Amino acid sequence: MIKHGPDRDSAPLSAEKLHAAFRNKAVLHDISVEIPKNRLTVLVGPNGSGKSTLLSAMSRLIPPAGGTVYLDSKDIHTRHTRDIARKLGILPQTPILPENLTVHDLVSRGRYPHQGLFKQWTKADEDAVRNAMEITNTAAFANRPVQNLSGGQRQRCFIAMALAQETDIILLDEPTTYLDLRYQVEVMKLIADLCQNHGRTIVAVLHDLNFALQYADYMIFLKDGKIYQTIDDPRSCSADLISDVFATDVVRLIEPQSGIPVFMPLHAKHTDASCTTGAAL
Amino acid sequence: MTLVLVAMLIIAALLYMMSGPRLITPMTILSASGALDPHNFDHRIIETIRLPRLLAAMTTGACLGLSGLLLQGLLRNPLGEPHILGLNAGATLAVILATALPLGIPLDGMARPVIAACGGGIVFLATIVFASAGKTGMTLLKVTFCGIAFSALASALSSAILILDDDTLDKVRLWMVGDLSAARIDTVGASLGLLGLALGAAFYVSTCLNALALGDDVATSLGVPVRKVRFIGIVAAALFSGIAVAIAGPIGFVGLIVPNLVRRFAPDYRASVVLSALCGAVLLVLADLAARLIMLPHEIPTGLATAFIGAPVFIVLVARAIR
Repeated sequence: MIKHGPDRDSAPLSAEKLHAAFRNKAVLHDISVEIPKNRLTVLVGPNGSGKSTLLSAMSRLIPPAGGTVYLDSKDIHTRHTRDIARKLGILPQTPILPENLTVHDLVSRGRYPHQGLFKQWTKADEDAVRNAMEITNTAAFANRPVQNLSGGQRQRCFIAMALAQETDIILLDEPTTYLDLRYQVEVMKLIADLCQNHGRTIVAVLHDLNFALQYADYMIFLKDGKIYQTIDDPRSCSADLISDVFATDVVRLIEPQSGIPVFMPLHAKHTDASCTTGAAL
Repeated sequence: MTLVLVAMLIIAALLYMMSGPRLITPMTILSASGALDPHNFDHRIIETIRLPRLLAAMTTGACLGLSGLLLQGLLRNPLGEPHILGLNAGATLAVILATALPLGIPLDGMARPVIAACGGGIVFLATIVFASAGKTGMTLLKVTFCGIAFSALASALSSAILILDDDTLDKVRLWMVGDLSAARIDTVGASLGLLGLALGAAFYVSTCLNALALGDDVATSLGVPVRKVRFIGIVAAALFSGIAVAIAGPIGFVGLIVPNLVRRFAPDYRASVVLSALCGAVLLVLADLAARLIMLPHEIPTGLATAFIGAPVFIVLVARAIR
């Protein structure tokens, strides 16, 4: 009997009662979540809360210890891995970069699931690679070795590879780690643009809470391997929520242009100052 | 690149056929390849000594290159090679065991490379299992050290058997230092079926190595069945090393140098099967040529010649890899 998950239009990817373990230690407990289509979903939570494990479990990189992941309403573990690779791509936190590999060659490797054993490189392949390099602004250095590029350029190349895979869903594990502010903004803008203008559904693990709030359409807060709360609108994020999830007192400020809140950890020496804490703002 | 290697292989083969204690001119080689005259002394040398040894050198070199290519690609380890990771020593031990033990195992024809491949595979498996133990998982250093340790263990066992058993020592003395002068041309012929099988597997695996080079997670994301590919690839690597050892004994460093050289010029793994086979053949033909000529009228074992070239390369690669 085929079990049918949630409605495929609203949630191309979803988990039901998902349990998962990492290195024989239970990390995820009873996670049920639906990923909205054409939105940027961001997973946030403290270290060890299970963000990366959830991403791995939802992309079949690790088998679930219980429960089911549905890709287009079908159990992901009953599907052929190459079929999945045409629907869902995942970029791990630290992919390995081989030596002497040019940007074009790296991006081309994203075409693997579209190529057969004897199928030659087609025009569709080349178009997909070109398109991916244009969107990510990497075409200018297509023939340079990736290892000689800056961190931000490098990250954009890996995202281009994931784009060349031409999947509707892309999962990104901390795409802005190790990047300085300018490149973080660059990469986040690109990711938001992919959802808004290129029809991609993206789930990203982000370390930086304020970046997550700025760009997310949907936020999933994880704590101790469970979903603590999900919110649709970053503006509704309260200081209590952040304080509880991260076990840290924070102050909630408002970024005047967007009206999106910004959270600052509360320093001990400021506690007697006139700062308002909690949900007061 | 392919054409360059083919040209180099032809030149190396011609030099190989010409040189030796007795110089044979290219014209004689041409006439021998046209019509073999059994009463012509030069033709006899070509037919019975040099041509079989050349074919053995080419096959062995190609097998070692391919085995190294698969190991390096699958483990993402530039130090991966059948000699270092225990495959050669395991294959040698298996053949010596089969020779020494009164089990009635035939060591002719296809049984020889199969037994060698099994021995290599088992020792390599032990290497992988031990290297994967512990929290850090399989690191480059651990694989290399475990491989060297298990190689030493297998070699020690082989030596112990040979010390205790003079008959076996007589049978394998030359072969076990890795020498093409003891190459068994009948094994080359008997291995063709296995060689085809391993080649097919290598071609399949090579289509996945580009993705695998980016890490297991990226490869899975791209739809590579990682476990399956790794299993097939390791079986093929063991077969290649088994065939090479069955023909010529354990010859080191060819499997180390070839893939590193090929990757430098062609980072794309899809082209690398043909390139590694050609490059391995050229390298071993040249190394064996040097082994035959360097101390004329005496010869040194082929494995010694490859070690002279290979050991410094190994040291450079270790320095680069561990940095």
